[in-house]
Amino acid sequence: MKAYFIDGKTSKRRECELTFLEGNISIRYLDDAFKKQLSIWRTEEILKLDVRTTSRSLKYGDFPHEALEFPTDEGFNAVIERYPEALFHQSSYNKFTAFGWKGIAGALVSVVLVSLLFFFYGAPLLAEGFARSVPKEYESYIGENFRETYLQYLTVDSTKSVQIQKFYNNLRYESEYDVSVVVVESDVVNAFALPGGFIVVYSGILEVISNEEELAGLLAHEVSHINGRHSLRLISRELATYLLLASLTGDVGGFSSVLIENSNMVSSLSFSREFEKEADLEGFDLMVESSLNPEGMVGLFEKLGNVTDSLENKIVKKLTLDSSSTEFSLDSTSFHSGIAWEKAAEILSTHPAPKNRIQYLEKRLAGVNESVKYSKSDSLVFYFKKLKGH
Amino acid sequence: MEEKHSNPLESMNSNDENPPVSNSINKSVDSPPPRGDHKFTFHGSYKQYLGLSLYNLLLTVITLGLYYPWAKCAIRKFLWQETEVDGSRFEWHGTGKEMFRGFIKAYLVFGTLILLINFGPMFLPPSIVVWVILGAYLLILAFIPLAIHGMMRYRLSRTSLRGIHFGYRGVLKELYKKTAFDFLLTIITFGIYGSWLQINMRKYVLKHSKYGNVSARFAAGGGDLFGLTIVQSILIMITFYIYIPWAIIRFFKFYVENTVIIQDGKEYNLKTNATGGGYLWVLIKGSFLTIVTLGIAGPIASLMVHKYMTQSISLSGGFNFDNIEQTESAYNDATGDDMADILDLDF
Repeated sequence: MKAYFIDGKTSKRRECELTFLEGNISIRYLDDAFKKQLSIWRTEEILKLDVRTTSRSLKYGDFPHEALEFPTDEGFNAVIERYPEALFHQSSYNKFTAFGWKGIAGALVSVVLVSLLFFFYGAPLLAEGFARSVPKEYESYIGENFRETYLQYLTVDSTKSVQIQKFYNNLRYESEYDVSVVVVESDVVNAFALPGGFIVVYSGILEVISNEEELAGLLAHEVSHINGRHSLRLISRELATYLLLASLTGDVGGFSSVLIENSNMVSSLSFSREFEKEADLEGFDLMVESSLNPEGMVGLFEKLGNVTDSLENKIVKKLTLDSSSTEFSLDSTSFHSGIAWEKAAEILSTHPAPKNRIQYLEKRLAGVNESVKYSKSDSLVFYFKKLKGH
Repeated sequence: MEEKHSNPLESMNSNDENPPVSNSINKSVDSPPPRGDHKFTFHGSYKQYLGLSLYNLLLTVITLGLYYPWAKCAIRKFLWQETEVDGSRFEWHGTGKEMFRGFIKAYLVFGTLILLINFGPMFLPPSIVVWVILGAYLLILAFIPLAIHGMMRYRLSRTSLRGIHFGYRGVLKELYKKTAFDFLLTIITFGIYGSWLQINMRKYVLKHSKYGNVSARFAAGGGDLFGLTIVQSILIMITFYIYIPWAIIRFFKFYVENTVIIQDGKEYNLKTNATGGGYLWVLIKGSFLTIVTLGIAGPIASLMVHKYMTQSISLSGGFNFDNIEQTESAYNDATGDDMADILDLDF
């Protein structure tokens, strides 16, 4: 058997003759009259071919490795055939290759199946588990930091904030969190909740709301986000999905960009449609429990529906005029009026359409036991009137 | 689009991932290398690469990413072993285990910094958050020379041809000293000085890269890269981006053809006959295949580019592959390799 031998000291290739013995290969110099022994390789010390390629070379022992290069496939295959039990040509990947196209198709199907399983079952399970394990105190701590950061960009209306807080306290909604509510000055028709019990209401939405039950509905919705730990669950879910995507694309290194996207999700506080629906329905129940007429929530979404309809027109105009600033970042000043339109556009995409919300709320309304009596609270009326400046 | 995986010969003598080219060295764009030149050839089969990629993908997904270093190692073995010059194949000696250790260390460092940057605002008091994030960014910047140093040491020491190992003899302290001022100037000039920074680093790294008793140097200067960048940018703009493939090849040529190999005091040039048109054609074929197969053929497309680039390279004929002495000793720390990976550096 002919091959080239490289001794690991220089790059010179020497023609040599191989003799296969039990458990080892004898290598002799071919150009020498005496056929000098160059080396004896024990098969267990031949380095592993983890990935078999068209390369026909074998390496041996410690650094600097000796090597054999075979001029033909026959020579190389002869070694493997002579030592079928030897480890150097065995690896799980090489076994996989033996399946050819079937193996490739199998791997493809398995990747898809495993990914789907993970996407629909693994990621939510992992995320919920993680979110549940975060202590409430820590959640409040995170919320506190958010609050400080956001308040730098917002102008708080302190008089109205005191009134809305009193309004909220009179609602007697059940929550494990110490909830505080503030009103900020802005034309934006929106409100949002931060993890750990902090609700921001824009004065714009107060303009639209016309009675205390609608405001009670809005706050019920926001408190339900807090009670359901939606921010935390959303971040966890995004992270779990990211894990899957990163391993799918092999781009574990690129996780910075995804993390940045995640923080954007946090900053824009856009809950997924699922969480929005959950907050609507939970909020609805909160109202019923507090003997407040949940029709207020339906009324709220009817008003918001009107606003979004007229907003959509403006957004289209705005986006065509200035399409450069549609991105949000953590330090984003997205609450400044200039970007408010994009903010509104985002709400459109992450919230269920108002029509749908009204539909499922009305369904729920029909299911409420007729014996339930709603009461009108004087103090709520009082603080609501104050808020509206009457 | 660059090659996804750098191949052995790039790590030995050229940096390629954002390949450029000097005007002076751009004479024979299409002509084949003269007879006797050592041409690089690539033998890898697309089918095997697709299988290997899917196999890796499956294991990586199942292990939630932990298999990644082994996957990377297998891909490298494939790419290295399928690259031939003067009748011999490159060899990759790294192991998944080594790369896993590097992966863990690199992720501990960068994971912490990246988490700090992205999630710091959530749990840090607003008064110090800006400073902490700024500090984290500076730290990442400060890790670049370390990452390059580690990557070169690991990658070169684990690469061999004809039994002779490549090696990197640069001293980390020296690299820091040499580049600290360049980094500062780059920041002050809003990146304009970046061309000089990049070339100075490359000069240092190549000067200390060895293949047995063969060494290398980089012939062009920062000004050449800067000029090239300006010209190529203008060309890209006035052609409404159509020129991009040609620009990429110009940069590739710049890096390859300014890499000079020194054997026994004599200098040998690397050449590439890659063309913008040829590159574009490979891109079109690859993209078509990828789209038609809904992305499944993605690895094939990236291998097509890799093959095109690799096969375009040749080394002047006088170079003697039979006369190289082993000079390296063993080395096996893969931390730098993964740091470079995270920072998306590929030298």
